[in-house]
Amino acid sequence: MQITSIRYEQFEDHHRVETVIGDRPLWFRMPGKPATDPQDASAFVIAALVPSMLLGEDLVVDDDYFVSQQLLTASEEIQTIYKVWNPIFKKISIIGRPGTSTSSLNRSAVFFSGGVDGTYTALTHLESIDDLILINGFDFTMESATWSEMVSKNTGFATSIDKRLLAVETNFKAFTASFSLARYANFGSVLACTGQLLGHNRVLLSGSDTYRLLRGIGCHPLLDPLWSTEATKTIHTGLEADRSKKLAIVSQSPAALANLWVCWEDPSYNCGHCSKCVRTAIGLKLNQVQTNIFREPVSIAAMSRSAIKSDEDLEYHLHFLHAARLQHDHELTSLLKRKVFRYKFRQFLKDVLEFYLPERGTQWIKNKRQSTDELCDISITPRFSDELTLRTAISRAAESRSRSSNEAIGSVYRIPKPGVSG
Amino acid sequence: MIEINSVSVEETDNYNELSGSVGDFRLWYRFPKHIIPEPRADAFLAACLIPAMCRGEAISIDENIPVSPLLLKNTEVIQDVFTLWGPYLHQTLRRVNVTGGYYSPAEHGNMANVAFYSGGVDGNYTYRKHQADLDYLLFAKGIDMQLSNDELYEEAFSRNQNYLSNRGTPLHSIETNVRFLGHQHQAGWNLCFGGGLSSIALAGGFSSCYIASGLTYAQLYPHGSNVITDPLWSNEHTRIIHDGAEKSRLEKIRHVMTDPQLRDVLRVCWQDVSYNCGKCEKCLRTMCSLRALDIETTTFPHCSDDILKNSIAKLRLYNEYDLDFLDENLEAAQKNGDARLVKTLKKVKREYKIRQILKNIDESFLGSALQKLRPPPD
Repeated sequence: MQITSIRYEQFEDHHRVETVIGDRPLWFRMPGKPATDPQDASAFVIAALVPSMLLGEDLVVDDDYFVSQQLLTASEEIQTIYKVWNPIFKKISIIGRPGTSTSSLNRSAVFFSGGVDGTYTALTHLESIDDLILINGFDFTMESATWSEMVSKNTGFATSIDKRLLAVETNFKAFTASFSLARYANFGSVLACTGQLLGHNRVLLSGSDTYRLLRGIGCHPLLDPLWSTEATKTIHTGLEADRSKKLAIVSQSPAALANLWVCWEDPSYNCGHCSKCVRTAIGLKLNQVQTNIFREPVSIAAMSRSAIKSDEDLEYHLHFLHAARLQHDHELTSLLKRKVFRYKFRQFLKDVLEFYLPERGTQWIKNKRQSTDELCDISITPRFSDELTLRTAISRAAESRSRSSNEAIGSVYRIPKPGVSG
Repeated sequence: MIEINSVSVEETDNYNELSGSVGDFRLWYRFPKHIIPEPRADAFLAACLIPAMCRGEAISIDENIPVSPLLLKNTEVIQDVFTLWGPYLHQTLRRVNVTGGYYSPAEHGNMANVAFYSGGVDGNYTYRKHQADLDYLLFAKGIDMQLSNDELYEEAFSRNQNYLSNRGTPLHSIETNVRFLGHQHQAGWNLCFGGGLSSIALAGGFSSCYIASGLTYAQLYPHGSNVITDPLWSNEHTRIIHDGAEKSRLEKIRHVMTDPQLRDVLRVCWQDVSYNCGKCEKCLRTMCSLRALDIETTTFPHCSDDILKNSIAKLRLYNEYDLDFLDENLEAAQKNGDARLVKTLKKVKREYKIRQILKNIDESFLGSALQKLRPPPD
């Protein structure tokens, strides 16, 4: 996999940086002027490392560019961790000229989308951060109207806490998906890459896990610091507080609470139905917060109906259960106990099937997964389907060598029409 | 309040001893003559932080004793971690204040790079991996076996030393009673041993000290020694390195046992009754691995079908990493076509899973009444 050219273009209110990694374009639109060295390919090495490991291809950076020595050194450990988590990721070599990353920007930032984790980090690091970074093309790919609304809303919140909002637009989500990589596999590196390009001294990545349970995931306290360069330090934060504690901090700020956006279903509002909305509603109820952030109020019955779907979700609910017990909230305690039990019982039934009907049972589980699981892409946790998914991704890539970089990603910037120079 | 005071270094004919009072416990570390400890509070702070959290008692360091600002800062994060891990570890761990001491970065000390070594799987793997960088290894009396068990310690030390001397690496004996500090505060060694081992490294003032990992990056379970918290026990001079999380236990056994001489040395047992008792969970688990890999040693009994039936089939697993170890052995046994081992391990796994679901029923519907009837495992 090669990184051969990195192209910067300056426009009236933003700049665009684009490269081609292998045969896939990766681009960013960022506010203002670039603060980093245009010969520095470190950000794109960060972007390309996980896909290169997946394909088992060495990463070659053209001699016109250099790669942060610090990053090159740390890449060994990054690869070791990925390989232990999922052997589908192979160790590769990065062939590039070592150098020292620099930046003219003396600011700190936190990645922020209005969710619980980012808002908690922003509120608990008010003294040490300058900017909030909001990305289109990370969680969601939004068209211009929705994206503009989101930027406007979050700019209001940033201003209320005396910070600046930086709107970044990228095709990173599509870039990741083109390798059949799940978003969870590399989302720490997506943020680290963005931070390197912006050139902040420090960028804070807000973890959703706590120290209580550290799952292998693409944004992780072991990995994130390793994406640092001499210019930009990436810091993983928020492990000390569970969802309920984070919501307790968030709910103390009316502006933050009004700005809260957690929904899986739609980037423009909180639906009140999806598992993330329901989970947040439980956390808010535990903190005795009355709020109208959900399009429809989340009832106790809805909280009960919403099933726990993963170990991650289970962990959130165990924290909630602990908090509900401490508060002697018998209604919520009973509800959460039932939900936890239902999840654990389903897991047990799966285990029983695997034990007593090893062939039919596992085949049934596989079939069930294929029909219901939307996240079949390769992630950190090994899956039976990984090899097949990888082969499919490689053959698909071979069939379509030239790829368009014109994904429909909305913009808040004044983008010249084709043929008109910036 | 736990007070750290009266820290001193005493040089005797046979060893140099760093000691100090931690509450009413006299904590000491004895090193060979060429290792000269500094009278700092760092080792004592690392040793007593988790026990203090178990008791919910603040720590006060005598104002005249130097203490590392870096370590003090890191104790905040260590406490963040362990307070969240408490429920999982069956222990109530509370945040405590650490006050006093004379802020002084640890800037000088021993320049040696060392690792702990007792002849086990993890220690051998780390030793093989970093052999070129290590100046010497440390075998701690009072950690892997009781301070009073001279005969067993001498035997293990002698075998380890012979093995290592053939490879050109010195092994030094050190002694400490740090393990008993936790016991005094009702804090099990499983909970305290990252801080405890680090305290030995801080006491010796080494440049770097490797602690061999027992778990992998994929097994980030709450545990006394782990890749998250171990580096945080460092001070400005002594770097604590948690090493080897990239390989599973079975992979490590396969790797280190390529050296035939290790077959006369390998020792994993904590039971203090013989070199390897061949009966405890750790011995039996290792014997399963050796059988699955078709490796014979002189330090373990052969893992016969009788042992499978009478001992391994009766094993009880207690937590996820026990299950991970078993799954690894199960996979290796399946690859090796060892039907008896597969059948035995499946039985142990099935019993664990059934106990887990009973535990879930107990927690969900009986208010953990059944669990309250049993003391938690250490």
